[in-house]
Amino acid sequence: MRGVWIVLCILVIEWILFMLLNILIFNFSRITIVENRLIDQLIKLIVNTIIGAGWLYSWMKLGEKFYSKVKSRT
Amino acid sequence: MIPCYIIFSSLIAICLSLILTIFFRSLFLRANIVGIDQFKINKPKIPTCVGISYGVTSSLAIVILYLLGCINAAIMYSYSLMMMLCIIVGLIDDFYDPPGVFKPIAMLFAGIPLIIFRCYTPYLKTILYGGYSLPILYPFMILLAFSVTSNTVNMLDVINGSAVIGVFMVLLSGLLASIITKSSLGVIISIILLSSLIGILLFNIYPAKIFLGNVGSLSMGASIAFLAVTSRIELPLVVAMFPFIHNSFYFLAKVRGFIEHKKLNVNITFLDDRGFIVDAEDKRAPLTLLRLLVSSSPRKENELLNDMLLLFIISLILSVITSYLITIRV
Repeated sequence: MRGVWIVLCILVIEWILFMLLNILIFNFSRITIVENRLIDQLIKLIVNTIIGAGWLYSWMKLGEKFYSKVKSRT
Repeated sequence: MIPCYIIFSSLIAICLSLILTIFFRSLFLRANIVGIDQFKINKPKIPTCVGISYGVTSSLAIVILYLLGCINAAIMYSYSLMMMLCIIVGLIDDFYDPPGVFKPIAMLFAGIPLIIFRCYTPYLKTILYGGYSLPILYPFMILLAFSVTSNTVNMLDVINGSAVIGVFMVLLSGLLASIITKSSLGVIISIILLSSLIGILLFNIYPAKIFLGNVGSLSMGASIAFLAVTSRIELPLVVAMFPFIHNSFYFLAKVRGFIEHKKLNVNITFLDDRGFIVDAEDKRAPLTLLRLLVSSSPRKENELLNDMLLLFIISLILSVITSYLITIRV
């Protein structure tokens, strides 16, 4: 499998995850009542950061997995 | 009348971009401001920092747009000031070689003109549901966006044309996203930025006759952030920048800090005797985009540029789908 196809697979998988997480984050943000309050925005920021970090972590692990698979074949 | 003005401004931007790129190339060549092309067997010396022409061209083109009445004064002032800051930060980094943490911190300030002139709407559009209002946090997110986009573009400037091709495709995604989301300001700005990039693109693509320098890559990255914020197409542009994010995230995750590529004491890739780029297979090295692309077999620099172009085309398609999903309400 050529390197470019590996990266393509990662990009598409991560895009799908990104879209799904966006929907999840939005639905969470609807729980908050007053959007102009700092505390509500901070809660959104914290949730976004946690989910975002999880998303980036999955990106990292996926890349490492693909890379080690390629290296074990060559 | 406005479409005619935009075409006129973009033609001027293309001409200016070519003229200024040729001018700075010869100027820096004479002044011996050169860098070594590491992925060529004969290691030629190439004039560097020529990316300054992008900042100058795009700023002048934005001023012309303002004089023709296509954009307002706030946009013109904020773009010009932002670009001036990027050029200063880039030149300091190119000539004085400050610590790695300098660029991410200094580039935070590039977003300040946008906040001062209030060229933003504190509402983050998302897919299917509309979006959410962030009146207090949005200005801070702007600062972060400028630092992230400029530095991530800077980090992918690894082979001839890689950063420019990427920025060109991201700006093209910005144009399409602006059309889909009906942002007329986005259409105008992205056309002007694309036109301003032509000269650099022609000279930086493989085999490169110029190098961008930090001044060029930081300016380009910041202009993407400017387009995203003013045109309210943040999400589609994040998707279009996926290959950039991939590259810098792996680097930062492995290195665990802001360290320059050249100061990293590990080999990520190297050039073999036949002129192929090879994975160094060093376990301490970050899994950058370039390393993943050569992981299965060594490849030539021009082949790798084609691979990167393919990745950016796919990201563009995903960005267009994202833009379309933004316009849908459930």
